[in-house]
Amino acid sequence: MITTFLIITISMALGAMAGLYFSKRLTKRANYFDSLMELLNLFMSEMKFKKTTTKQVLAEFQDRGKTPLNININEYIDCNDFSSLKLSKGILTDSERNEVKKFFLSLGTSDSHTQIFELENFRERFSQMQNQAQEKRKKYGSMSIKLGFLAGLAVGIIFI
Amino acid sequence: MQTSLEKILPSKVVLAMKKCLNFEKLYEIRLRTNKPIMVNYGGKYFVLSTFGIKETIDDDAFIVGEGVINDIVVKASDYSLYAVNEQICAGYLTIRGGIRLGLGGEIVWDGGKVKTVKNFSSLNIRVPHEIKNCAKRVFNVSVEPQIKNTLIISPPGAGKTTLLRDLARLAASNAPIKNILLIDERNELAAVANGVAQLDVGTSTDIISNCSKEYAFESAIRALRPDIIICDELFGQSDLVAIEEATLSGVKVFASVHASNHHDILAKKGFENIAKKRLFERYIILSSKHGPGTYDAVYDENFNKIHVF
Repeated sequence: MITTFLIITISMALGAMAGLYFSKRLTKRANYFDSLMELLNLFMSEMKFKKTTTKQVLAEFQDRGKTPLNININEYIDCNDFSSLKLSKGILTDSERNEVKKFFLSLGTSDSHTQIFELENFRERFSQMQNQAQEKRKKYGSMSIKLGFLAGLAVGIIFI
Repeated sequence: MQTSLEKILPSKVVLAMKKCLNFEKLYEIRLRTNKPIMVNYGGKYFVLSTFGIKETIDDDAFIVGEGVINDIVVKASDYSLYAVNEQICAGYLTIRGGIRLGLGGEIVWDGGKVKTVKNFSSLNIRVPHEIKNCAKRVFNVSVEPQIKNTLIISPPGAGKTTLLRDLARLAASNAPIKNILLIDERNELAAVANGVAQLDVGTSTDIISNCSKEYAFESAIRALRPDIIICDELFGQSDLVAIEEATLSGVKVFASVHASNHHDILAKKGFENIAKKRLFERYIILSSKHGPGTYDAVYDENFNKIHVF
C-alpha cells in the first residue's frame, strides 16, 4: 500500500515538474521576444534622435536589467568577426535564431533611413513571434502544470 | 593609433604591416577593390605584400577582395554607419587617433542632396603624425613679437595638418597665455574621442570638432572669445567670408590651404581678394621635396620672402 502510494506520488511530482519546466520555457520565450521588441524600439529612437552607436545602445539596454536576450547580446559584443557570428539557440527554434542573427548582423551597416526601414521590417517579424509566444504562454502556461500533474497520476496508476 | 588600424584592417594585412613596417613612416594605406593594397611609406608608394613592401606587383601582393572595403568602413564606424552618415556623405570618416578614411563609392542622391554612399570601392587611410616642435622654426614669424594671421600653403600630404597642430600646441603653451580655438572640421587636428583630445594641441586650446567653419566661427567667437583661431583646409567662399569676419573682429587666424605655392593661391577663387586686403600677414609654403614637411619659403603680406631658415 505504501509502495503504491509512493509510486503515484513520485510520478505525480515528476509530471508536475515536467509541466512546470514546460511552463517556464513558454514564459522565457515570451520574455525573450518582449525584450527583443524593447531593444528594437530603443534602437529606433536612439538612431532617429541621438545617433548613439550600436554598442552604446546595447550597453544601455543591458544596464536596464537581466533579460534572456542578454546572452545573445554578449555573444554579439564579444564577436570580432561577424562573418562567423554564432548565437546560442537557447529557447529559440532554428529559424527564430537565424532571424535574430540577421537582426544583429544588420545593425549599423547602413544610413539611418535604411537602418530604420530594416528595423521596422524586423519589428513586424518579431512582433508576430512575440504574439505567438504570448498566446502559447496564455494557453498552455498554467495548464501545463495541471496537465503534468494529471499525466503523472495516470502514469502512476498504469504502472501499478 | 596602431590599435585603431588593427581594429579595422583584415588580420593578415595587420600582421604583414607589423612584421615589415615602421608605423612612424607610414602615411597612407590605399585600398581599391580587386586591386593590390598600396602604402605611402616615407613619402613613396609601395605595394604591400605578405613579405613586406615592393615597388612592383607580384603574386604575394595583397589583393583587396569584394566587400572588404565595406567591412572596414563598417568597423571604422564602430558598427554604426547611421551615426556617421554625415561624415560619409562628405566623403570621409575619422576614427580614433585622428586616422582619416577617405571614401570612394557609389553616391546615393535624394532631392539634390547626397543621402549616403554605398558599395565602397576605394579607401585612402591617412595616418596622422604628431611631430612635436616641427613648427618651432615658423613659430617666431607667426607669433613673435605679435600674433600674425598665417596661411600654410601645401599640396596634399606635405604635412600642413601636422604643422598646424604643432603651431596650435606651441601657441597654446607659450607665455603670455593665449586662448586658442581649434576648429577641427574633420576631427584630425586634435582627434577628439569622447570629449578628450588624443593629440597634443596645447594647454589653453578649446576644440570644436565635426562642424563647418562657418558655424564654428559664428558661434565660437562670441562664446569662447579666442585670441587665435586655428583651422585646416580652407575651401570655398563661405570659409573665406568666415575668416574675413573673424579677422575684422580682432581675432587672429592660423589656417591652411591646398596649393603648391602662393601663385596658385592667387589663382584660386576668392583668395585674390583676401590677398589684396592683406588679411594674411604670413604665408608658409610647404612641400614634400625632402619628405613631408619641407619648408619651401615664408612670405609676408606683400609676398616678400622672409628669410627665416
